[in-house]
Amino acid sequence: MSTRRFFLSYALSAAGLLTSVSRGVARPPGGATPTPNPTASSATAPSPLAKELATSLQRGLPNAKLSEAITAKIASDIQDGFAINKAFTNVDNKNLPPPDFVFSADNEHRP
Amino acid sequence: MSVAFGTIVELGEMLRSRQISSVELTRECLQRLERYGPQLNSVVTLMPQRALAAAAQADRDLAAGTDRGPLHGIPYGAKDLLAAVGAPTTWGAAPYKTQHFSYDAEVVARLERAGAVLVGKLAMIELAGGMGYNQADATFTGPCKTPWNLNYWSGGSSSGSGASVASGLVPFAIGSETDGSIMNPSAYCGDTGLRPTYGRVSRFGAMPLSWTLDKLGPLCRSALDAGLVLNAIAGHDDKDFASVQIPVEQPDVGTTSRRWRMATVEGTGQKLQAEVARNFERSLEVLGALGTISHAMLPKFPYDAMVGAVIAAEAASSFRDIIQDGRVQELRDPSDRIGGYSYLVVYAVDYVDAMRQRAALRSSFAKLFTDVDVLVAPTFSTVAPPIDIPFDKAYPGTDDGALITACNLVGVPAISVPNGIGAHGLPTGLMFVGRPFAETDLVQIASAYQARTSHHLEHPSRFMM
Repeated sequence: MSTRRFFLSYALSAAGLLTSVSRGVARPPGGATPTPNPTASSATAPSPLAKELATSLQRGLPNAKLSEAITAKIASDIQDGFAINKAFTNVDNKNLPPPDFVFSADNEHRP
Repeated sequence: MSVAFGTIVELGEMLRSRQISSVELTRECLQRLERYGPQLNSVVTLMPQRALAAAAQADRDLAAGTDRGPLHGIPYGAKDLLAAVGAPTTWGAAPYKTQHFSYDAEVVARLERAGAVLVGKLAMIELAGGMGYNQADATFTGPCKTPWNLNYWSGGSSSGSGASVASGLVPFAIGSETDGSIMNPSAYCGDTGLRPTYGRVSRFGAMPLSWTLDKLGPLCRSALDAGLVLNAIAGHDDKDFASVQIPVEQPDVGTTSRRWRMATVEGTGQKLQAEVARNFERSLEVLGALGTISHAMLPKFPYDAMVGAVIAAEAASSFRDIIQDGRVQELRDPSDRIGGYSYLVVYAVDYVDAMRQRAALRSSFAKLFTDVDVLVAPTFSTVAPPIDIPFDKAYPGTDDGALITACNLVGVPAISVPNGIGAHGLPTGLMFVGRPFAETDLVQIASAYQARTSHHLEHPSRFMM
């Protein structure tokens, strides 16, 4: 359903930063998830920060055995993810309610 | 009437009048699942032993005068993210192919208490799409196909649930939705699918993908059937932190003279396939006899960023182990193999802000429903995509809009009903969205629509043998 890729194409094309991806692209249907699509991501060159984050994952998760090729795809994916951050950046959130997390100090009095 | 395509109501009448036994009905389902399941890639595991034992018990109970209600003796299938004793629970994903649980999911337990007969576990997109898939072949069971045209996808992530109900393999099935996964296969397969309000149905024993978004609900052959199944599975459960104590009302189907205040949603009628637009217009003509139809504006929120942040953060937490140890790379879809890694670096502040936006969105939706009983929209902008083309390449120029995502973020219920045939001989869907916990409204209005149309009575000819 909702896809990060769709969001990215929308946000970036709206900002005039990405013209190669149509705003009208169909959202991958049925998924429960943002869809980091490696093919789509190739349109977005990963920034040095995205590359560094990907490399740090490669180093920090030795059991995952992330190859250089996979790490490059992850970098593109991370770059896509920055669009989510961009959507919330410089948005006035002072009047927004607090998040609807519920935590209680003991199990007996949970709401 | 073909037993294979009978509704719960019809089959219940046959069971109670001894025209058929639950064992016979269950054998029929098992045979059809065995015969057609591989053609559709809709089945993961058949459960003949458990099913036939439960069916025999249902028959004995009925003979002894014990009737557990509308689902008594009715076979069903469960999306393979629901724990069930006697079969693996694979979550559609290679790393979990041999996973077993020693208990039943709460939904499975409630259905058993209602006399329903679990016949098998049905195919699904790996991890319910949690890692970000972009193709039909995103499960170790292979691409699930819509029974209307085997070159096209069933939808997902409740793929096998959608395909199996539509092809007459089971009278109903349980699916799950985080962001569209009941609505999607319902529309693509021509089922009637009900996504309950968040908190209405216990998720205990279901694969957690996103704790603040996940819902379980039925895929059926009629709105009335969906209401009956919801009645059996809804209700408070201490084992699910989100579970609420709000009783489900029995829908007053067929006799209501209520005048409905309906609203289409600005923007959702754009960028549709021509046949989807045509079928939607025809649906509105039918609905015009049931009340008034106005237009509503969907509140402006950064929906995709919101759902992206929430799913990324919660799915990464849920599947952190297989992301970190690399097992996520055993997944089928190349997108799924890498998606989890970028989730690990989602900003915490973005997740918190997404959750704050959701709280604000809830208030906006409450206002939206002040003057409206139900929203009505095409469930999806297109028919099912081909199984061999990445989703984002299948139907360029179309756009599903943000309604389903918005509704999932808020947690309001929805029902999708078939409303005609579109391109490639594939079904299209009509969706009603209601207030929180107003599933009864949805069952009523969808039933009223189905009383005036016959789309839900049409079945794919290939499977009518």
